[in-house]
Amino acid sequence: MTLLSRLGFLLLKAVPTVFIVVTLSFFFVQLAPGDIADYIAASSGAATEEGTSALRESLGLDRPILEQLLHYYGTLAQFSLGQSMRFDVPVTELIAARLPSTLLLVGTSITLALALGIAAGAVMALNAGRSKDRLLSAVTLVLYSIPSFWIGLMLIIVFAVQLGWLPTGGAEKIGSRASGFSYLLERGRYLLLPSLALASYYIAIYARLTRSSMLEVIRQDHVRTAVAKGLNRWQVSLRHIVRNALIPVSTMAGMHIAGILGGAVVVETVFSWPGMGRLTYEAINARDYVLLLGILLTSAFVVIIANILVDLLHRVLDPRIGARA
Amino acid sequence: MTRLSRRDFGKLLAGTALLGSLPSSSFAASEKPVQGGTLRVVMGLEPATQVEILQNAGGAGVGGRVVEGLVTEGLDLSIQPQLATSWSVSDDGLIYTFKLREGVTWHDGTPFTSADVAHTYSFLKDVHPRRRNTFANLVKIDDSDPHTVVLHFSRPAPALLPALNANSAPIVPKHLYEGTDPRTNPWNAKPIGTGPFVFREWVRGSHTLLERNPNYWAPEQPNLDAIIIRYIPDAVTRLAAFEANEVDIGYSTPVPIGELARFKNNPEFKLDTEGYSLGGGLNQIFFNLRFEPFKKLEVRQAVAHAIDINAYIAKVWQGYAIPSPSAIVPAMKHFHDASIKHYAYDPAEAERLLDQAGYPRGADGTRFTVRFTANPFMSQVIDGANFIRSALAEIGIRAEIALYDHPTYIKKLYTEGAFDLDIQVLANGYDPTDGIQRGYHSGNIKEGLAWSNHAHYSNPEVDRIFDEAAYEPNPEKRRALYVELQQILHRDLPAVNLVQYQPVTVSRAALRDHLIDQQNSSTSYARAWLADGGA
Amino acid sequence: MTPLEIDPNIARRYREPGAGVFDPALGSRNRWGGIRFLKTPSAALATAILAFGILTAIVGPILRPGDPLRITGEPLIQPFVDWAHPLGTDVLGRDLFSGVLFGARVSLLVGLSVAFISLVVGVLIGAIAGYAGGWIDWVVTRGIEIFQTIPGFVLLVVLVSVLEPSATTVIIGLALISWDAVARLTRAEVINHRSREYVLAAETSGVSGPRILFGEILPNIAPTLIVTASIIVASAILAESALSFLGLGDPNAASWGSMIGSGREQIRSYWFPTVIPGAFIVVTVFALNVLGDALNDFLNPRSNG
Repeated sequence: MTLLSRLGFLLLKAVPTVFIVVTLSFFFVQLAPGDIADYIAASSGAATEEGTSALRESLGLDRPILEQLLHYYGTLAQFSLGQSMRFDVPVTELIAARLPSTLLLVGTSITLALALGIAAGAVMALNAGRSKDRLLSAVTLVLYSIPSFWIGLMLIIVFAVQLGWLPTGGAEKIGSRASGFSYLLERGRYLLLPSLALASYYIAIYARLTRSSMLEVIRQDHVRTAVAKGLNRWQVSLRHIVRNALIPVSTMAGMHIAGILGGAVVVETVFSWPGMGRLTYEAINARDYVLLLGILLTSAFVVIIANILVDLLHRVLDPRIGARA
Repeated sequence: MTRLSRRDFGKLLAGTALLGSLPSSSFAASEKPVQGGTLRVVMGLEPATQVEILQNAGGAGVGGRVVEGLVTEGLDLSIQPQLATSWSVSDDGLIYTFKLREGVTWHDGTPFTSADVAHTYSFLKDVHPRRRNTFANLVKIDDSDPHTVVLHFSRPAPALLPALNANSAPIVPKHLYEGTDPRTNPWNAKPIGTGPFVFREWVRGSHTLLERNPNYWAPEQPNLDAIIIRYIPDAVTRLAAFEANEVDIGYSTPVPIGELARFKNNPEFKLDTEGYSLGGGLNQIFFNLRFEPFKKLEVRQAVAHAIDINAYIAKVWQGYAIPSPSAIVPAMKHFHDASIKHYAYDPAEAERLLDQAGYPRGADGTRFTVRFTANPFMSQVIDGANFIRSALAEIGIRAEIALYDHPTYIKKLYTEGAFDLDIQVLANGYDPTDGIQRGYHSGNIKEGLAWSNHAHYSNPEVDRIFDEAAYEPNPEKRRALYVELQQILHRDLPAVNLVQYQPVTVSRAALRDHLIDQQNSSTSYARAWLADGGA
Repeated sequence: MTPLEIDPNIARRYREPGAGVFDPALGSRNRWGGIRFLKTPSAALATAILAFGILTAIVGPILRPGDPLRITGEPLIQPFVDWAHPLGTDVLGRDLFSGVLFGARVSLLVGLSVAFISLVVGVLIGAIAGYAGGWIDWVVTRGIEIFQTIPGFVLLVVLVSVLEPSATTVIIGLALISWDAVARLTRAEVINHRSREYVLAAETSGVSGPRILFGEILPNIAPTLIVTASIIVASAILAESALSFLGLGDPNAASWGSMIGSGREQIRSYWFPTVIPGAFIVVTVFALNVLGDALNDFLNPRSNG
């Protein structure tokens, strides 16, 4: 199978999964007490019987549940995610505005966690059993044990308030006209703290996975032979070991995408990051099921695509996998 | 009872302001305004849409900065001209005639005329949850003269003018709204107005950017070049943003209430309690009178005796509240009965009343267990619930707090009636008919309707007073009726009234002349300027 | 290998965070008892911490009776100043010492219940799928895929906010997002063991399927599952604190997470209402992970060393 046909096959295979996700979520949201009309009454502090029932009618909330579900399928069949009940704009518009920031945050966090984790893991493996190994192991484990919102608040207080080096939140400088390298630098300043807060939990996982994979490889014969042949220890570790360690680490990273997307809810709130996490929370709170389903559907696709990328990466890293399948 | 909207809940009467400060304009008047600079406003909640014509849910939109009303309210609550230059009311109170400002253009260049006002008011009457009442008796709008609007009512509308400001009834251009559904009109998200600032962009989840309107009708206004409204959902992050000099102003206690002390003695910052005069936030506990044990008056009295109001103000509100023992808050000076005092803090008396009511302490010290709901939208209300829970535990009542999100809260309380005690912060409104009647009139016991009489309080005498006072033209007699009402409510105790809450505006001291009206977070900043040119 | 069906060898490593490497010196290939296990400093320390935690959860409320949510003093008393409130008080004047004692009970209860429920459900489903294969396996794999596709924390927030936030809801919600990892791991392990000699031998001698699965295979993969359980307890405690951050904790039970939730507004001026319960979370989660590592090395000597 070529990479391209494999990609197509995997995407097609994902469709029923996404369909079930949507259907289950729909019924799940219906279980929740209250609806968007209750939400609007609650947050506006005013409600009239006429207004509330008119709103329910115009949104179709007075219809039987199955009819609402079929109507939603109908919308999906037209390749549309429908109209958000709370914001009165197409769901695709809302998601399109938020998805890039979330992908940027999640992508940076994973990259950061992988880079720091693999680096720490490699150092730990090469120094297995020594104090450097233990120290790094303990440090990463402490990062793993602290709740991410706590790390976030501490980072803000230290780096934004006390030191004044980085902004307290937001995704970019408002009204900025910077371009080129200075633009990237500016975005980076906003990105650093939230992605660190989100990454901290995962660094330990990748570090330890890298370490154990590397130790396994180091003990394998061909590496011992390579070392015996007089190859530099570092050359060996880079060529043979890291490459082999990347397979389990990337598998794990693929499985973490969904978790990191979820964890973004908390970090986005702390850093007022304009991403999907906060939108999700608002959609739940407002009982805007059209928006919520749109978000879940999008997240499901993001997770699936990320896993497909991992799959393809494995084929590149280790051609034997493709041959086996 | 009008439940406070997130945005309105700050609008308390200023007469009793705790920190009663001079209007900032009085000492800034001698200084010459600095031109230019960007004002950075912080808000906790992002609005669902930028112009408030369908719902006033969520945070403030562009407000008076972009769209304007016919009139505005000064800090002293006087009605002042905005898009209307003058107005008159017919002797029978049925006809309002407004002369409109000439030479005003919309931000897209189209001239502003009476047709815009007429079109806006005619659809607000249908879609706006509050203006539905304001314009209920509006039968005809005459816009035959482009600079005159005449409103014809079928019944007198004495409370009309306060409802015609930029926040309550913003006027939008007819040429963009005609023939559309105003609720889904795309211009709601990128408004065209007549105000001092022009809408530039709204990046959802992040900010809204406004720029100076060079063609504003008021000469030499505005001073600022631009306004950025940032949406920061977390109170601690908002505090950090103030401390890192990333924002200039925030409304309705934008930082955790306990952290206001950090700003109090800092000359870089200013705290204001003015500008919140419309509304009146009353924090109170409602009883569900349908069920035992709160059906019994002694049990309700016991609850009232269990609360140490001074400790409550100090711990829950950090001092930013004053006692309000009566259903009409002290801020509503014309009607508030100052002779009513809180039930004395006396746990022993409370225990005696409970014993007498037939609820002795059980083997574990508990008399009974009740469901205690708390309005989820303010952290102080949740702290308040914990305070009350602890106070009730002292007298042997176990109150189990149920924290619901908004839709569930409305469903549980107003549809299912599944609560025994409910702690809220509610707006009194500008008149007892607006904010108080709904909570106690038996005609408003309506299943499924939010902010109705969920206590199921029913007293024919109270109903009579409400009905009489609503149409009583004589102010003295009207006050007498409401005083009598407060005393009955104090005796019957369908709710324990706790405190009137004081919202606070935090701003950088360099910001001047921003406090010119009662619009707080929706104010126009037409005259505001930054003494240091902006950070 | 499709993206969601992982290699059993990798699946075995799915004991976050990477199990079995904290103390490589531990490699005592010796299974004859717990004494040897406890001789390792890190394992002994972790066991001591957790034992102390569990003891606190049981005995603490007896030492300091009364409702920890009662207001018993002035607000925001500093720790180590007033011996009536050794760890100080929070913004309303609730005793932080009582809070952390009772909080141990709630937090550990949440963690242990979640681990128990997800183990039972996950092992059952994963083992049956892995052993039976065929269409059963197909259905289960698709089911796991669905749960893997939805961001877990989002599902949790939806569940807890639409139901009443309470300890029970939090436990159910956390179990719902944790079982799939256990099921996936169990399935991979069972498939791995199915073709081993001892299983084939049992099959040829006519032992029934369920008996092989529960009598032979599961005991062999139990060590892996025990390690996973310790990680689930730790993650559940962390997730509970994140829920409390969003205001979705149980309002009637002081947990370490809910204490952080109610103290975090003062975080800028008063460190102790959040740092004290936060420290308990960090130490417990840390100890659970160290214990998981040590157990892994002890029970699965081949996985490392």
